[in-house]
Amino acid sequence: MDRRLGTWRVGLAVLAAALALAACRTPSAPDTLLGPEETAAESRPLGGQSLAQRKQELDRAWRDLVHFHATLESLRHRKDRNGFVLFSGFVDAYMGTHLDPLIEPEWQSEHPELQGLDANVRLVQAELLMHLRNPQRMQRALNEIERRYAGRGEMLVDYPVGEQSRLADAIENLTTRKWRG
Amino acid sequence: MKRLAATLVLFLVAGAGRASDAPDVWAGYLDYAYVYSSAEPDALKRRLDEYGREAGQSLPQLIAARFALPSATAEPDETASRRKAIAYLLDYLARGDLASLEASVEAVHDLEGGLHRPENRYWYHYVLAHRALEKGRRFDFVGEVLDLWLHVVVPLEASFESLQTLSLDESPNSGLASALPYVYENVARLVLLRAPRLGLDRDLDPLGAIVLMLHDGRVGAHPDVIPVQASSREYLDRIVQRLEGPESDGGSLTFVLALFEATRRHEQARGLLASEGLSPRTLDAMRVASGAYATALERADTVQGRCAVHTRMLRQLGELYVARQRLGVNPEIEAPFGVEDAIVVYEAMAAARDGGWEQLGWAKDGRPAYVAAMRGLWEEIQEATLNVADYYLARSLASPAFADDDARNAARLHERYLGLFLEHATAQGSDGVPDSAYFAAHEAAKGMGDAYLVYAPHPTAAEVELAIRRYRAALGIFPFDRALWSSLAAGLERQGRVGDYLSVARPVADGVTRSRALDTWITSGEPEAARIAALRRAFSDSQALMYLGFAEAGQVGKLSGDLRGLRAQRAEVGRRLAALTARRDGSAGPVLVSLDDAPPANAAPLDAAELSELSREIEEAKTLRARLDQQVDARTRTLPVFEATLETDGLAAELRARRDHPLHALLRRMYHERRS
Repeated sequence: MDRRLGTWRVGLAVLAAALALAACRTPSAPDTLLGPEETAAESRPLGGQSLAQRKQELDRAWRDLVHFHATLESLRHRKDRNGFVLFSGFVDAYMGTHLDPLIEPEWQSEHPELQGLDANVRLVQAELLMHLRNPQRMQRALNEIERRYAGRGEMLVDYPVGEQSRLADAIENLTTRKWRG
Repeated sequence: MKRLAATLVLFLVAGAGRASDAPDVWAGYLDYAYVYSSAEPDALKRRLDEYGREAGQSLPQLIAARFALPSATAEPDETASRRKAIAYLLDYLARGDLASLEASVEAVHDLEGGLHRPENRYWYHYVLAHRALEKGRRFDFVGEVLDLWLHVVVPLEASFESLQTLSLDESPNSGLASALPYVYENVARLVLLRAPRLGLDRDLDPLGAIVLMLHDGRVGAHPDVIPVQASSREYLDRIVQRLEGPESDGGSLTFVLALFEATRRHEQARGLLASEGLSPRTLDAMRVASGAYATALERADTVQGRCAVHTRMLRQLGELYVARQRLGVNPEIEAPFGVEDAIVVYEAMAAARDGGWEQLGWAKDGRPAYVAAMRGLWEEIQEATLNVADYYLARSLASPAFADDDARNAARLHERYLGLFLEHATAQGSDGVPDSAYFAAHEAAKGMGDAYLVYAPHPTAAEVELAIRRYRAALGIFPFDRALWSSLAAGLERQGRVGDYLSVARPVADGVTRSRALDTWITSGEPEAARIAALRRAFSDSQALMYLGFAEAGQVGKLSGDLRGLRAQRAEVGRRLAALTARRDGSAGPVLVSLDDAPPANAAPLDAAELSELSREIEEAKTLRARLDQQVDARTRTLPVFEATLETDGLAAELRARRDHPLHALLRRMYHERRS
């Protein structure tokens, strides 16, 4: 038991160190033959199958986050400290390796067919960060939502989970609960 | 994806019978092992034996020839190490050989340099998860499954969808991505079937999210790859239903699996009870089920979870006592907990009625689920209590030497239930009390009266008095039990107070005739309105009430015959009175002593003494006729009313058999109406 928990802690520490190193690294010069580097995240599918697939990915990510939320709530309610630590590590790693790259592209937050899903995912992510007792990251997530959705506070979002509200209200709700995680 | 399976089949067919190519044939079997590795041990063994015959070399032979030699591991390459790990894992899964599992773990560690490949990573975590299971290292097991999901499933899902969109999921180059449906299935079976089977029954809660994700459009969502009926979809549905439903323990997977296991054991015991009675095998199965319920209770962290366990456990307790009574045998089974423990849980739930019930575990499910759970637990408490009490009453008849003790045990159980009922069936707080609880209170009160007056050979005077009070209470709750009125009369007779019957019964009957709830029920033509109306008519008539107390149903014919005799007697008295009156008035001959008497001729005038005697006879005849008029009128009016009440016989049995009988709702209304 302790070995597993220890492994997660070491893993998290390594992950944090790797992220810090990556942030300090100087970007390599672009290959002159290939031209300026364009990441997959910056490519913008306007419609068709690619858009449908991205919609599907966002929808699945949102549903998965909702399941994470239910499990974290359950663990917290049951005061299952070991389980909470173990699962928190998993959720944290999921966000870092999968979710953050998925929601990184700016265009998703502006695309009429994706913006709702994109906002929903970000809000549940902020909620999860609150449960993970990481108010700094949660605040960054909320700031990012406010920046991306500036002027669109009236937009309806699926938050809290299972309900609907205005985006501005959802942000306010999360902000006031930031320290309650 | 269908082609994937077809490829495997072709591969297997092509390789059949060529012993010299056996390692190559086995390579194919091992590379596609994710398709079949989750099969049950017997099925897996049969399949591996079949592959061995087709390859001309059994799996143990392959392992001995190819993987067990020291030289084989001198220069391990990724593919060879993976196949070796898979071969040993399959051998372990089919035969349960722990040495094979350790060899698989050893081989899989050689893959640590190549974990960037999804298939390596999948088998790496899959093998280590099996080892953690076998060693009982629950946190390691949870960690391996979470790692498998994070590092294998999540990256593969995006690739799988792209491949599927382009119909490339059947391409040989699609790698493990095309096997994703099998990966889902294998993870589901590992967590839901294999882990509980190997006794891992705690600290699985972080895997709740994995189970929810598997259920959410993953397992069973690819019928072209794995037919739904061949997948674990149905089982997963039931698990998730429990996980998210009102029988959960705050969403704990550990608890759900423990309760599921207990329920499965209970079903097995119930099946044996039906087919073999209380045989040694049945008793063993019941003990195992009780133990499984005890485990589930230990895993429960919330009142919600404890409520779910007690509700099911009490059902088993009730079934045991019904079987004991029915079969006339008395085996001993230690129940880990009983009615009193369930009452403690109920009290905890009731205490949170006006606030705090959400914290008991029903926050997500809402108040209706909380109320339904309270009612469900109550019903099991009431049924178990009544069944156990019935068992003691039946035993008191079978063993007269212990009849006093058994009858008093039954009375104590009934009194316990009545205490609970009085505490909670209040106007303000009865929402957690089911409708059927009111009839059960009637049964308990009646049962208590019976225990002292019918079953206990030597009740004390205080017990007889208490029994009569309980009969009155039972009638107050359910007055439509015709036989209970005569039980009340018999009880009073035992006290030498038979004359008090009407004064005791009348207030109860008046309560019924004045009931607005009952009147509304009858005038609205609700279920059983006609049968109840017949009894209400009887209650408004004191003479009918006397019939209810003192007449048996079988006496109706005799009572009708008596009425005919009274009518004849009245007619005769009438004629005699007419004759007497005529003689006195001088308009007729002598008085007829009987109708057969011949009138005497030339009757002489009456003297003063004779006239006085005649007047006295006339007065006597008049008094007799008035009394007969009264009797005939009363019986003419009352007997049909009493006869009509016979139609209500069986109503109590119907309510006892059906918790959802519509009359239960009427009893509830009448009970609270009387107390308002």
